[in-house]
Amino acid sequence: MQGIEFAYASTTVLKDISFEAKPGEMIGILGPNGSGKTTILKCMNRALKPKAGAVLVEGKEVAELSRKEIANEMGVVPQNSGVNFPFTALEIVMMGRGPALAKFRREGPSDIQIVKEAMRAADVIHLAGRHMTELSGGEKQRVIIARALAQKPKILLLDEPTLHLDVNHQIEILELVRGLAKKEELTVIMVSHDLNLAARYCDKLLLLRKGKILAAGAVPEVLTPENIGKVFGIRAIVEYDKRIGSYNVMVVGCAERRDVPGERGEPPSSS
Amino acid sequence: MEGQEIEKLHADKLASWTFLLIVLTVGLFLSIIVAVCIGVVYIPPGKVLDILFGKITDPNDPDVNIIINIRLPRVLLAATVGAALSVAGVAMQGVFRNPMASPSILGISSGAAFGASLAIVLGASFVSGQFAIPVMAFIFCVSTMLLVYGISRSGGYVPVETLLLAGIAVGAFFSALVSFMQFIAGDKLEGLVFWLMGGLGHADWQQLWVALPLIALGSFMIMYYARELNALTIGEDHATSLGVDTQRVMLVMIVVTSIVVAAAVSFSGVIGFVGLIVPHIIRIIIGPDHRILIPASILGGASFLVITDTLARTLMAPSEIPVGIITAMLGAPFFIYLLRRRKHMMGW
Repeated sequence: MQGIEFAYASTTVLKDISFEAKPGEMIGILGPNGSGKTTILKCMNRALKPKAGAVLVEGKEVAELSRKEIANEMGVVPQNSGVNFPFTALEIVMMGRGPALAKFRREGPSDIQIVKEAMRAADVIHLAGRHMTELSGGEKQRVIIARALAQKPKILLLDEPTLHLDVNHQIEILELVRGLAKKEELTVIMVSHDLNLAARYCDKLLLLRKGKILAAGAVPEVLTPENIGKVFGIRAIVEYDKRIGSYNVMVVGCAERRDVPGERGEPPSSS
Repeated sequence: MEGQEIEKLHADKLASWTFLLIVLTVGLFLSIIVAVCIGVVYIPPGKVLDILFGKITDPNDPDVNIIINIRLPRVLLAATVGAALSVAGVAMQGVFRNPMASPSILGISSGAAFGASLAIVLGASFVSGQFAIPVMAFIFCVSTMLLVYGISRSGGYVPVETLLLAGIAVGAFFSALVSFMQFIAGDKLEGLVFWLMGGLGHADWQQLWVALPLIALGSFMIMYYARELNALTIGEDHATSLGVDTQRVMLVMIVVTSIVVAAAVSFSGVIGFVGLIVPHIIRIIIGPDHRILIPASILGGASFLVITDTLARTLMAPSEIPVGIITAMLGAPFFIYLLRRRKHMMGW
């Protein structure tokens, strides 16, 4: 059981963000550009230091851990995974073992074993000898996920993992990540732009607006037409679609003068 | 590709690393021997080896004097300086994820040049005697780096882009000062110009014993951070997520490389392009992993400067071409060649 409590009170970016994630759970952080999604992730692994508040992993404060200890708890898939160096996929995944190794220590058989498992899990083992520069966006992303897995983390942080990917690769990545969360009991926290994909793959959602949590909880509680209207200024219909076993957000159109009370979240019938 | 192939890929990689290190070590040893043989007086390799390994020690033999007191310290200093410039280039390119990064891009070479020019032209120095120029070069090299770092720092964070721009600006400023010193140099102009072009003509054992420990220690520190440099080349976010304290690594690398560069250029003057081409050649051969890139660049850079310095003192013997001219004349065309095919090889 792990409780992440989080508050960050800088002047603008984030305010009073608190939530909790359990092993095996996949949490989606949604919100428009500039709402502080990525900042939350960066505060979690202390790439940024929050002005106030604390991130707790299994009761330990992240602020008191060393960078390497953090890396042993959390694997991160950063937003721009454009690795432009001719490292091979194997070398990249092997880097995931770095935090666990002492200085000047070469990777031993057990590290190679872990790397192999990670590559198998992310389905990139066939790419091992290929250079990152030759891989497609989706393949690169899977290699980076494999690297994060090779860190043997309890928590996986993903920043817009489907950005710039073709739709088939988007589905592939999210299926993979969700499978990992369930199988390996990983806590997955994912920042996303895509309401539908998040609704479909996440267990819980966090909807941000101007650095504050507007709504948090299960998908149907968060993705209401009203909330979507408040955050994105659009009219939308949210329906449970039993063909995909998930909620579907359909954009109806721009909310005319969205700041006028009463016009938010127009009833779907208006279409 | 299945499981076993991963082990094979990994083992093959380590084998190719070992092979490259052996080749480069042998190459360095051979180039040192050849360089010691060649000169105004040719001394056959057999005799050189005998002298080097102490089988001939007769102090009345002129060859012993030439080798022990003139050629050997010069060749070894060339190797040390070449290693230093290359390892500094590797570290800078890694930390800044910039293929053009080299000691000169942070302005530290210009700083060193200005320090040396103060000593040469005005005779101003914190110490006197034969170390006046190197000490001034060293002090200005390190303080230029601190200045650049200080300018770039804001709120406890140093963005790479700001650092590079600050380096270029500070470097341009010191270059202008160096030009001014040349303008007012009068009869000291020749000495200054010669220093600026770089050369190892004044090498002696004392210089080697000052430069070598600093450079060895710095190289060790850079090697110590090899894994961190790997992570940094992919990107700062990636490095952070791999447990790298990016800001600390950056600061340590800047300080260490500037000391290494200072130790080298203090005695040799500004020798361009070594820190740029050697790491790039090694990268093309063996890939971007710093755990091999660093030792291989040290060995390769050492051989490169031993060879170019030997060319410098023999091509137009008895007069000597400044080695900086040779490295630049070899370096620039090579760089253009790299530029043409970098898309495939470098990823840059």
